Amino acid sequence: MTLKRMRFLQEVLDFVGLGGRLHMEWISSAEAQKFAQVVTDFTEKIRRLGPNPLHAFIQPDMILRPRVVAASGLKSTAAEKEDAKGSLPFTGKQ
Amino acid sequence: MDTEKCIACGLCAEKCPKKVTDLFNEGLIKRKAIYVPYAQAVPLKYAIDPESCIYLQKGKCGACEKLCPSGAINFKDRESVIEREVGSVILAPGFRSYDPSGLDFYAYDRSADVVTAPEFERMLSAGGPTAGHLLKPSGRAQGIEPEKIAWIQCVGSRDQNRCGHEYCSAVCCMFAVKQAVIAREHSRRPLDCAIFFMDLRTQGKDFDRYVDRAKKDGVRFVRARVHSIEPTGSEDGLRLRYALEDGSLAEEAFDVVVLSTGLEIDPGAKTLADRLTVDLDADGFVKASPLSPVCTSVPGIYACGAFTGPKDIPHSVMEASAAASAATEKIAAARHTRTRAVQRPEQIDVRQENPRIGVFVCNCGINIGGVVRVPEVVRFAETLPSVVYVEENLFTCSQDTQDKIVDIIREKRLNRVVVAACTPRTHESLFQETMAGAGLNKYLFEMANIRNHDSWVHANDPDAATKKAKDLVRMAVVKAALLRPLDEDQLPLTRTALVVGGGIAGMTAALCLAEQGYPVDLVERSDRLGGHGRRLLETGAGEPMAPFVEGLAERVVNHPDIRVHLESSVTAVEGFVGNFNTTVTSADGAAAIEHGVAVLATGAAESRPAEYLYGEHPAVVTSLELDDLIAGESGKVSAASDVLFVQCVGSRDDERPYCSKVCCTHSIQSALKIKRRNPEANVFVLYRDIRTYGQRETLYNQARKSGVHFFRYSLANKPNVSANGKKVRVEFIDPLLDRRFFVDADLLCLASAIVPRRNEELAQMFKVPTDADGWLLEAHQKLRPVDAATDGVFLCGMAHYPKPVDESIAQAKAAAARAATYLSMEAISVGGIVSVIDERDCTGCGACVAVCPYSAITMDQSRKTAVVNPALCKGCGACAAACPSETPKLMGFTHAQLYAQIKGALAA
Amino acid sequence: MKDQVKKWLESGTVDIFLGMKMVDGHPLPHAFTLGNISDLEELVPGTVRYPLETFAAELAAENPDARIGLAARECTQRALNVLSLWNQAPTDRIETIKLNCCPSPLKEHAACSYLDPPEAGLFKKHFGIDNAADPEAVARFEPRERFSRWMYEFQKCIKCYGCRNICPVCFCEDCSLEHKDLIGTGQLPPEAPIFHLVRAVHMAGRCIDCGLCEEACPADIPLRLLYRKVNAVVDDLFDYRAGEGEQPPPFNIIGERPSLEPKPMENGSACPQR
Repeated sequence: MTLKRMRFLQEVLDFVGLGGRLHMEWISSAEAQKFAQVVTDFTEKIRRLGPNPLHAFIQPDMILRPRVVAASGLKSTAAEKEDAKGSLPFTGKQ
Repeated sequence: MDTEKCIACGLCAEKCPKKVTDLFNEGLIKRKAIYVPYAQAVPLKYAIDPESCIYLQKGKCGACEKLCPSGAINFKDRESVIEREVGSVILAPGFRSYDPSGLDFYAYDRSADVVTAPEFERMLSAGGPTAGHLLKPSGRAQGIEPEKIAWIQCVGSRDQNRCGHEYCSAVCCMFAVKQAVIAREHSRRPLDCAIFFMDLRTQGKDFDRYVDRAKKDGVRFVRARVHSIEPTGSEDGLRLRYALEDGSLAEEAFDVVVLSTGLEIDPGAKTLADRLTVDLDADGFVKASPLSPVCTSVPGIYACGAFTGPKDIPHSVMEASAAASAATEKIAAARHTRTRAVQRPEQIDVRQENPRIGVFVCNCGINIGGVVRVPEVVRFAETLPSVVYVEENLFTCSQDTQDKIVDIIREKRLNRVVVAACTPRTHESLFQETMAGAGLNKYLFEMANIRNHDSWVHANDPDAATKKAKDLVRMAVVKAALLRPLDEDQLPLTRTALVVGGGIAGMTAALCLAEQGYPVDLVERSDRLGGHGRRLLETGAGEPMAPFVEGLAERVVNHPDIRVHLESSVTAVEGFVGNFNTTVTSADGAAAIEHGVAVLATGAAESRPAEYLYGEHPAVVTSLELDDLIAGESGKVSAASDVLFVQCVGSRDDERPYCSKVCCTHSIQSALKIKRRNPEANVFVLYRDIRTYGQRETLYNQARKSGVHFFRYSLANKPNVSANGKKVRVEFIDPLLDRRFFVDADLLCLASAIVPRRNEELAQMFKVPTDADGWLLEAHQKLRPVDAATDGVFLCGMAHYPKPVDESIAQAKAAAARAATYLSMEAISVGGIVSVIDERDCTGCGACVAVCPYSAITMDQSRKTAVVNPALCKGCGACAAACPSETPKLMGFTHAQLYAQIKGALAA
Repeated sequence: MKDQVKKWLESGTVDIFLGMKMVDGHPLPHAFTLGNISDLEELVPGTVRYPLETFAAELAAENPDARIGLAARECTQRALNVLSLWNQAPTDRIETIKLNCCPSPLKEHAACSYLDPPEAGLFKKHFGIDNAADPEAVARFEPRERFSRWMYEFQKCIKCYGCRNICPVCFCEDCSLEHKDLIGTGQLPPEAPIFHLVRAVHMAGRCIDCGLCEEACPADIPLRLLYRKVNAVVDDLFDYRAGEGEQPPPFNIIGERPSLEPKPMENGSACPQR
């Protein structure tokens, strides 16, 4: 059940673009090495994913953000996907 | 080693110059002369191995003594003789694994890749020498992984010629299957696992299911006795030679061979038994009657575990409780005569005060202080909100610091205490005791683990460790500020028991409890006590059952503390542990019985076979019916010249995938009886695996010696039975000769399956779940084998699973012992860390009711709110997580406290 | 329908009938009783959508003997099923007059406003999420873009609580969306994306896909789309569809119930990293 619940949360987070940041593993009290390995691996993974994009939003000036949107201009993400990626208004400080 | 002072920091072992073979890891790696035997040791304290210690052997070194930061090592300590007056003694010296060194044909001495089962167990263990990484022993240095592993069963068991152990070790089949399954899980590539066995003896609860799963997963089972293992010295590894059932010879190479070494009694245990004049049998096990399974030949001395015969963990744990019951029955009057109450000052009410937190930061010698800059953490803690006092200690857990903490709590008027030190697992109770000693509620305490979680894991990074220590302290402090004093109430309990079922198990449990001094109500559905015990002829050891059952029933009926309710059944159950109120209904009406605990011993039934002409031909009978014929001196038995037994009738098939456990022994005993009465009779047993586990193997050997013929059949090739006049013709295939045979039997005995009573109503009333086969489910198969998941309800006998009389009796005694742990309490302590539901916020959606694993939450339909029974709540928090609006509050771990901790963790 | 209701009220089959009444040209929820039976003339039997079941649940709780009648659209029926599972509506005391409004093989053109959402504007299409898109289409955006688009939608929220207030299956006394440690009240903009994710998780196995939240939302956030995804995951993992059947919701059981095999954890990530 826990596995399914966690899996559920993973999928929901992934759907809003925050995937890969939740991990669950069964480790018994006798598996110290495994614990260390899992924590190290996950830390590495999170590092590779880069800072949490949410950080860009947890700022006092959030109300001002629509201006950033306006400044970024309107570009068709479908046609110019690569180009658009750089100018997406809400990608945070990546 | 002063275990009071040892803080398990490990400095001593790090500096100890002496390396010795680590016996816990089966000699696969080295350890130091000062060591912790294994990672899960309780208490977690270091010990000196005097045989290896340089100081103790040569008088020089003493490095550990000089280094020990807590002064726990005292080389002047001498052996002392401690005398204790006791009323009973329990022997539980365990077993040792058979040493296969002498068996040259298994090449254990010659090849590193031939290992014993305990060695392989360590190789699989995450805490073992290879950290659970499966490696070929001969190629460990190069990191070579095995591709093929073989298990050889019955090494040191069922073998009178080479090892002198006639008995079956009872546990090896199951552990070999388990090892094969786990080895495959651990291996990074497909691993070929083959188990070479004679009879697969997986008779325990749910064991056959496990085997089926292993087979499905690809574990190979080869019915063959391996003749020899030959190291080839080449890439081929080890060559196994064996004969298949059809007589053809086979050879196969494996990388690793595991010898499933049996259990035997250690010579030390034999010496101990000799000293106590306890009789042992020829195999070295305690001589005990199956009718009094934990008693020895010396009154007052009891035994349990493998010392009384080879057995697995559930059975051993069960027997341990049984021994505890037996050992306390005779001395029940002495209970609590030497207990003393702890004196504590009156509790100060701090609820109206603002938090005043004291923080004690421990250096743990140099354990923490050597890495974390403790003074910096102290200065940091001083800046945290609500903190009024911070102190650095060399050892916060030392007795003088405890006294000081009490003084400071009083002097600074602290109302919350945070200790930043080691783990609450070992030290929380100590500090809570100190809190209570200062008049503070013990739940106003919080610990930050800056040792195990910090200085130990970040030993090479003092900066990061110091930073993390601050985070951990901040987390503890913000949570501490939100702590509330929690009350524990004393709930009175009814110190009587209800036993349901008047068979051997029920009667035994009732007697044990009554002997302990607790009144018992025994409810039996039929019109007399005894159950199936009355139909059995004798125990596995040949003792007659009738006088035993008669005697037992008489003692029960005449016991002043037992009330027997015949022709009665339980019709309603209310209440909970300590305070059950049960309705027992008979023809005379319903009676309400108040009781504190309940033991369910409702037994099982013999199934009526639907095959092999049962019920259609008079020559076809079941095992119990044959017992009746034998007991009645029936001419049907004495005149029979051909008698045939078919085993596993209705067991171990698709419908009932379990083994009925007792039938192999039962049929063999009946076969022997028939042979004894009429040596000329031809007796045949058609079996799938002969499961005369443990010392029952002797019966199997006797039967074969006396000329009983055994033929194996498989589920795919079941025997065919047809009527042939007064006889029945049984046709079957003998796999050894690969030929079809028939026997015209005068008597065909079907070893029919034992089936559960399907007493779902009773199970539901006591909230005891049943498993897929219908047996009552224990709380934990290994660790709590007689407890039901519901507190205060226990189970024993066949209601739990088919089992022979000795196991039923042991289990009944065990259930009584477990029940007595409640009955011996003055009151049940409730509260503390439990869930609390504020009915104003509860919408009555029932989510918490559904998730509570202890049935501690009920729905008050009239008020539409969930209600927690603190006596049943274990504080697991499942309800707090399930509720959509956080209404259940787990005291000591409320949402607010946890959110504060999370915020504290992220505040840096 | 008017005749049916009249018959019910007169025969005592129900004590109260909840429906929509036309008041000054506006359909408003109304409780029809024997006492005001003349009001039945103003009963609007049509396609007006409002979670009358919420009133029904409240009325039933306050009046333990009352029998309640209800004009029930198909979503109302599903909502009643959910409320009954959560012990919030005594369905034995609630009678419904069923309205077939959802699309079906027999009736392709449904009588429902939410099936016909307003078309998204250009800006929303480029930087936000089209309310008419399906979850699969949204999942096809790259994670970063997906995040950005959702955040665009979430930050528009004015925290009016309209989505919660209109929701027929929201019934908690103490709402997590006003939780002082998680969200707090009175602060703008709301804690994106926590506010909406908390609500989304609470909708798992509960949302009956009526779409009222989205209709109520003044900021045009594609809430229905989000909850549809959440429920698709629940269906996939737990073989559970909210509003159907009488099984307890999957988050309300502990341990395993025989159902679909769980998918293996993708090494800690459910996210196909492209």
